[in-house]
Amino acid sequence: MNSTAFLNIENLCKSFAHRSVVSDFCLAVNQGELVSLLGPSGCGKTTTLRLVGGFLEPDSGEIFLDGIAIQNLLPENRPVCTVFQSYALFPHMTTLENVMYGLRCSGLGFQPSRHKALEMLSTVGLADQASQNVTRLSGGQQQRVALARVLVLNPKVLLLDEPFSNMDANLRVQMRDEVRSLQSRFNLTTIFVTHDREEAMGLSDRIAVMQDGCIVQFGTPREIYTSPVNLYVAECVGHVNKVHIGDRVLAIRPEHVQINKDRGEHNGIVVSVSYLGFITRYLIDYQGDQISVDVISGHSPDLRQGEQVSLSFGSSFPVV
Amino acid sequence: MLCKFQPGKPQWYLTLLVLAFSLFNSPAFAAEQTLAVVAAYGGKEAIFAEFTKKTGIKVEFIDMSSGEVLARTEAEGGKPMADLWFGGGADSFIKAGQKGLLEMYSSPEAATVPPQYKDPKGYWTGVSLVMAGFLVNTEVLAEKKLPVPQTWADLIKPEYKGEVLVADPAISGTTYAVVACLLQKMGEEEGWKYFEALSKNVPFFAKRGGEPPKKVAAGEMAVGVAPLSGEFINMKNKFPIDTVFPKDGIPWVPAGMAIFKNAQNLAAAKAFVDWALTVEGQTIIQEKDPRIMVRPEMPTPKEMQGFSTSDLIPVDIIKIGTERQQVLDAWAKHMTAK
Amino acid sequence: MMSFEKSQIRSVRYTDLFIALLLTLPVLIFIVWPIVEVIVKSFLPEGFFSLEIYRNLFVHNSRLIFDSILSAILSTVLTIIFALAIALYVAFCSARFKRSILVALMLTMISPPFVSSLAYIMLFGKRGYIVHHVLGLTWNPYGMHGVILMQVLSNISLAALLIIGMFAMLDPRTLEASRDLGGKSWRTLCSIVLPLSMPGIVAAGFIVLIKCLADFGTPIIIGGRFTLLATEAYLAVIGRGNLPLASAISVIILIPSLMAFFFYRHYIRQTHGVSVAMQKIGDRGIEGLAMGSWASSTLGMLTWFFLFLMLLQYGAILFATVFDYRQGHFIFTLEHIQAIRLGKMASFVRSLCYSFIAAIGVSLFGALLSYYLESHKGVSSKVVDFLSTLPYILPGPFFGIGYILAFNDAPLALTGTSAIVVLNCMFRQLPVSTKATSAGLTRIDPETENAATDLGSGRLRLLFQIILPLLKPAFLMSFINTFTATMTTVGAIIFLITPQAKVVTVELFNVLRDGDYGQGAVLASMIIISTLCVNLVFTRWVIRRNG
Repeated sequence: MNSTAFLNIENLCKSFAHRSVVSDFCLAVNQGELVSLLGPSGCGKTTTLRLVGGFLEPDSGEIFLDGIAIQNLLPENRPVCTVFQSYALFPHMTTLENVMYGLRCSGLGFQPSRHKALEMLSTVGLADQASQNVTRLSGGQQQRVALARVLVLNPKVLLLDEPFSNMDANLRVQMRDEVRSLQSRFNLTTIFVTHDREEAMGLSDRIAVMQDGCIVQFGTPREIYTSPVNLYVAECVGHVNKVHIGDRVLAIRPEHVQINKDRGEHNGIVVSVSYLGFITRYLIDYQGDQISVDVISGHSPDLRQGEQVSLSFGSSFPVV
Repeated sequence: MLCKFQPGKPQWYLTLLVLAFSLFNSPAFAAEQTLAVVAAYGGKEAIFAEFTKKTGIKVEFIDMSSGEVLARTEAEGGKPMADLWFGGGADSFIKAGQKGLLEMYSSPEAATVPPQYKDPKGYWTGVSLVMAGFLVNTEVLAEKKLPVPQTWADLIKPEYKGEVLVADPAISGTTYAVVACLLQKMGEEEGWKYFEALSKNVPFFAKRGGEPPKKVAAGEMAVGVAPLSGEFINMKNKFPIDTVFPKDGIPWVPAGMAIFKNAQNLAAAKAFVDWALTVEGQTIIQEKDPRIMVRPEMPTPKEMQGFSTSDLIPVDIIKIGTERQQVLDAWAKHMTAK
Repeated sequence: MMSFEKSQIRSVRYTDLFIALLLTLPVLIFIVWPIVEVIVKSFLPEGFFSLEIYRNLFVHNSRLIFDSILSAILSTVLTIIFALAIALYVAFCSARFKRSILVALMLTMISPPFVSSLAYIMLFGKRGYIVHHVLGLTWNPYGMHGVILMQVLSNISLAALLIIGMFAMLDPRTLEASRDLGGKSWRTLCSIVLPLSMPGIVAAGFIVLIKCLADFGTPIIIGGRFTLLATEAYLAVIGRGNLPLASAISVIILIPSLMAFFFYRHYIRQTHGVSVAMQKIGDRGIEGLAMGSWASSTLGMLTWFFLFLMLLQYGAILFATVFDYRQGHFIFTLEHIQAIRLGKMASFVRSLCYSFIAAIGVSLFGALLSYYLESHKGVSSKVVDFLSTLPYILPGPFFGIGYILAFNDAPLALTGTSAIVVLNCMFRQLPVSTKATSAGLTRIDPETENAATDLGSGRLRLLFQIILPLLKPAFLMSFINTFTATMTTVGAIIFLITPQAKVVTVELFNVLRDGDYGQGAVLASMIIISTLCVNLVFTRWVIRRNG
């Protein structure tokens, strides 16, 4: 274990009704680093986050923050803050009151709290909405309030629980950038839970891919994408074709397959063509395997459904 | 419509079955052949059972103090809620007769009933006498070291404060009889002085005639002003209570019986009046609730041995009925004035 | 072709109008007319306009009015305080006993009127078992304190359940967020939980206040000399036959109820944003509020004390059905049960019948009415909706007296029949039925309806094959509610019963007024057990269908 890490989670276990949800979970996060927990729903990532946030008590294991064990602290006493999936804003308060809430809880006086909260609101660009009821804000604005509400407390660790899942695609990209810039500006150690591979890849310093309550692989997005330890990890961060060649099964990413109009060693038939803008996706039937192939639009041969093609395979990894 | 939801489901059939079953069982559907009675009489269940046995006419009844019956019938514009009115102080009957709420019927059996116990026009006929006295809880009295009150004058002594329960005369025919009889005996001025003094000893006026005896029996009060009928006298066997015939006069009023105007089962109602006035009927009624009966040949019940009609306060019964409203208004005024 | 389509549309519209009228008519006849009659009677006592009754009431009986309002407010405040404590305990502290406490609260909601008073007199009365025989005291249970105590005890379960329901709708994440931001449990409770639950708490208070204002039975049984407006209204009918006076008093009772109602509506409108924000709630319980052990044990003590009182109450009643306390010891007796079998069994069976008929009738009618109101939004449907809500805020005596006045003579001479009792019970529960249905309707995706019409289903077919089956849970809820209410209320129907139509609650009221506690215990037990059985059977049915 990397004992010098800022946040150190060791052998965390949690089960509900005899069903193990998090088992022997270990993770070390450096200061200022943004780490994503990635995996399909049910893999235990939200439970892990709630254990770190203090909303659940671990069955066993320890969480060290800056060298201090925090797993027995109540959420109100942990220097860890969460931005919830639903934002969990206080609907009966104004924007300003929401942001002031934590400061007031910490015993700060009204005027200083107000001052700090207003400052934070202008940082996230919501100064003009200070006296607005939070329920009247748009989704993106609500998210900024949720962020401002925790950032103003200057937490040691920020937890983000699928914060973009309630947004449309454009807003999602915009908010992702905003969160990333705020995070690096405040140099916040952050754990980010998501099931969206693109989000995880785009946002994280490192990604921890989770399966059945523990980490399968932990590394930079590039490491995980290019050298997944197994098919599960490979599929978590991108599409993978499974191709039977002889008695071997290979896993190949769609962009590592080349299509030739001439006959060759591996011949197949075009099943469908989807134009997706920047790329064009072909579905090729190759000896019973449906292989999807991504080609940058314009760089592809003009193929039609039913056409005979040959394939050549680039970098691949064997399926265990 | 119900079956249309999902005819195949057994639950709906179950509901319908239960419903149908309960409908067939409903006495409401058999109401036509039954005599409807409002009653304020001890042992009424048994009395009606005997009547049904004799005549085959079924009886449905409801408990109501006589004042309540008068008020409800008046409130509903004289529309009768029942066929027959059985029991309760005659004062309400007199008033109801004067207001035209009753059917005139002179039973052939009423011939032997003395005139002071029945209406000259035949609106109502007495069944028995309601006499008022005290019901005392000997246990409570002993515990509080109080003597058993013997006279109406005793009741206003300060030591009984909070221990005397009296029903509201607007509701209870018995209490009304007490008020009206004592007013006639003492005269208006003395009478009201007496009741104002009595009110100081009464924690509250009960909202029903039957409440004082039951509360005294339960030991909640030491003394209750109650009808002195066998029903209550016999509670001696179960509870530590005793009855007192006041030495300074027993207020009384006939317990009436009348047929409501526009009664739906006139014949059945008449049959009941006839039956209740026969020697057989009187004997059964006396057996179920021992009282002095209206038929002169009926004996004094054994529970009241030693009692003589001369102890009754001599009063003008018709006046008691006629002046009912004035007396009650005066009562309300005197009782709230303080 | 064109004109054919047009006429078809028009005929559909006429059918709708016809059905709407058909559904509105009963509301007008059985709700509006009696109300108007009461108000008219109070201002035109002898056929011409006079304020004499009101003047008398305000001048000579201002004390009565003051007492009524004061005691209702006191009862309400105390009820809400206790209910809140219990609700907090159930929602946040009692993971292990949560279910059992909830069941206990639901059971104690099924209580016939005066059951508390009955048990109270038996246990704590002047000769009450505990006070007199165990503690050797003699005190006076009658008076304002008795009335308030009884009203509080009999309303706590209802209020607590309403507030627990509100708590369950809170987003647990909101509470977690508060703690995450450093809010200790006390602060989270005060600045998050309570403000967010306020609509539910206010609603509970409003319902309890109206119930207390309209309660005439408790003061009669336990009030002693302490009388209230509702009692006076009752006595004006029963003791004096004075309908104008009773009407005027009923109108006076209605005023605070109406004020509370409008305040509530206004309040809800103001906090609408909040309640909407809370709608999209998970069904998981709240773990977000870890009460300190001190607070938790205080709340726990209150809760268990209340449940202990309830146990004592129901235990005493069951015990008193077969045991009598005479001359210093308890003796076993079947006398009370025999007395009931002899004279009052018919009333019990009749009550069951009436309750079934009223419950089925109003559930069907409420469902249809609500469906038409929802699907034809407009000013007139808003008015009908408001009118059909009125019985909920009307004091019981008001509704009973209104029925006497409205249905005594032609054209609808119903007094003295069974029909009037059933109709009264039906329309008194109509608001619950329509509210349950409209809540059910909002859960139906409008697309479902469109899909059905699209597939060529006619309007009636749509109603009977698509809408009503989907509303079955609401229907069953309304059924259970009306059945229970009809089995256990006395408020309005006491003015309407006759020998042929007397019901078991009225018998209970009568025997209790007589102080005949043994028979009262038997009747109360019969009501409790039968209502409980029906509740259990039908609730299981609802749950099975939903789950």
